[in-house]
Amino acid sequence: MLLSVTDVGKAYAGRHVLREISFTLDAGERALLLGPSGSGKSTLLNIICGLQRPDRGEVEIDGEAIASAERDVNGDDARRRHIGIIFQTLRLVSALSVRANLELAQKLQRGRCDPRATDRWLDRLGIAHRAHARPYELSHGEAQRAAIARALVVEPRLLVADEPTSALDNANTRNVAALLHEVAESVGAALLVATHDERLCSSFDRTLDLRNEALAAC
Amino acid sequence: MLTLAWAYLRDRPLTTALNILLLAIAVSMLVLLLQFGTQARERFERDAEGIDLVVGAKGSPLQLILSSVFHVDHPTGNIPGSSLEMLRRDPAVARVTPLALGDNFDGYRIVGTDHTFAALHRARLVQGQSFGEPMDAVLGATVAQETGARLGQRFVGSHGLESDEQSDAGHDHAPFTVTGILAPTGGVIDRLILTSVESVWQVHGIDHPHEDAGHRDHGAETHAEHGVSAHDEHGHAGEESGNTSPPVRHTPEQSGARGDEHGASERGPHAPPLQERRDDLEPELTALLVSYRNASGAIRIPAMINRQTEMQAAVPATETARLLDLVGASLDGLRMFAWLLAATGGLAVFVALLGMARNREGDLALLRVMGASRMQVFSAVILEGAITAAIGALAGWCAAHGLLALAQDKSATLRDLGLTPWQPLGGEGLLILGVIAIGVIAATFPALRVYRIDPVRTLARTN
Repeated sequence: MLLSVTDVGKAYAGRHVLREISFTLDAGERALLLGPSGSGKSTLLNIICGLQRPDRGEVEIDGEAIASAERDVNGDDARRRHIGIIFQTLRLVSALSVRANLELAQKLQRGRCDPRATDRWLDRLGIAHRAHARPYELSHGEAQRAAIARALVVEPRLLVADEPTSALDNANTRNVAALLHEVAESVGAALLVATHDERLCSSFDRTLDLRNEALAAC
Repeated sequence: MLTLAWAYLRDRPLTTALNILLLAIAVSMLVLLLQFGTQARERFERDAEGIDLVVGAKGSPLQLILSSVFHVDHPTGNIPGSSLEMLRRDPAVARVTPLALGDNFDGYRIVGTDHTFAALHRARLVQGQSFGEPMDAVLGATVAQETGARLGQRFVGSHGLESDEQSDAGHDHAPFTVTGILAPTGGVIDRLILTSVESVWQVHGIDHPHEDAGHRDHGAETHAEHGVSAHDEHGHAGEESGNTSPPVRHTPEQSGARGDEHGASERGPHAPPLQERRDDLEPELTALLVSYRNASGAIRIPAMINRQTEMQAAVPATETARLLDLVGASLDGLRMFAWLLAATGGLAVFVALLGMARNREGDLALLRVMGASRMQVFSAVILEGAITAAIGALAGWCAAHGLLALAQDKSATLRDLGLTPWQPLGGEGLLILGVIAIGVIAATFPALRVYRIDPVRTLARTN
């Protein structure tokens, strides 16, 4: 078991957004966290990534607590070592080239930069020719690939993606989903994708349906 | 974080360039003031070392010191040659060095003096020998280097103390021969050409007995009896800023009712040429550099000269201090302005970084999510301020030294001051550190703002 989410709850100003959320994810497993906008998907991902503290419950990754309501846990270290994140708005550092974005991720998460890994992922995602381009010079598709490359270049054990297919048509949605599966599988990473897009359900091992602040099997 | 800070600076090139420019201007002003103040003070102290008193014609004591010790201004006039012997006989006087000015070669002053002058400036010969015969000349190190003159080479002096003065007034009839070259001293002597007083007199038409330079004072009266050779037909017209008349005096009858010491330089354009009056010239000196044997001389001799003779005595230490006080007040004002400019540069960096912190908080929150610590994002912003200030400081330093080199190349006055354009000073390091500190201080508040960023809220807000 790679990821363990146990009885996690979270409320904002007295309003519950998550209640008694529990699930596990094995290494290499691909799960979809499905729910409409405002259902708490992003909050749950933040807690899983150690960016937010839950009001109750605990999250462990590879047996190491990354978020806990009961005890103070600094999730930064576990996140650096285990998790690669793909944001909804891609969020590449605008002042840096694509290559420099990948190198920065390696330096921050691994403490060193491996140029061969950078080249490999740029090549693998078909953006080697755009390595020196700045983010604002990229098409949406290229930027998406760059964001995926940045998340994977640190070879995470868990790849987390928040709404990676929002604003994409059917063909591109399928392409992105296929790409995420392929790259996650190639590094043996578990994949957890949060989305409101039910078109993705069929391509994942498991779907976690987040409705009314709780999970229901899809 | 250094890469990131540099990338952010490159990402807004205009703002960065303007901030750097502002800081560079401030730093270059500060470096110039520091260089000028320090080098001028050091130079003044070095050149005046060993000279307790300067005796010259009445006029501005500061001008007398500037012209006779630092060789940057025109002399106040001439004094009788007999004054040399008068002072040498005084038991409180250890050494009297005569100076006879008036000519230059290629802008370098020709100084008629004796062998004590080189000793006074701790100069030693690296080539050849000192001047012994009339028209022998010893070149200072800079003169030799800049003019390319070699031993045995002959050159002709021109009237005036700068190369552009009366350039048509060459003493073609009396060429000097280079007999020696001095080692560099870093002092004013490097830029001087030394010869005997007799040579200067000879150039200006006064024959003299064939005595060695150390005894030429005995011949003062004799000189007056000798004629003036034909070279003086150009007349040595006077100059606006001071006296560069050759060290010869017309007798009162020949100088007219004025009977002044500037007789030769203040003659009207229709005055008869000098060679017609050769019998009426007597040898003069421009100034005397005096070193006391004991402290009693410092009390008695200046008062005696100022009250009982037609000459004036000026103390280099006093006049230099007065000059530095005068200059220092102006430098202080400029220095304050430059620091204000640096503070303005710091303010510009602050505004730029504050704007950057607002515009890029999404990026910085992302860095936090990717694993950067609070201190890392804090230091990224601090580095931006420090890099901007450091580049500004280095650019300013280079600009200041470049300007100094350029100015020295173009300005005869600065050249005469002998400033070393690329000489780094300890104070410059502190200055550069001070400016970098301004950059760091300016970056601190924006960096604290970034330090406090909540990555989750910021990412949610900036989605």
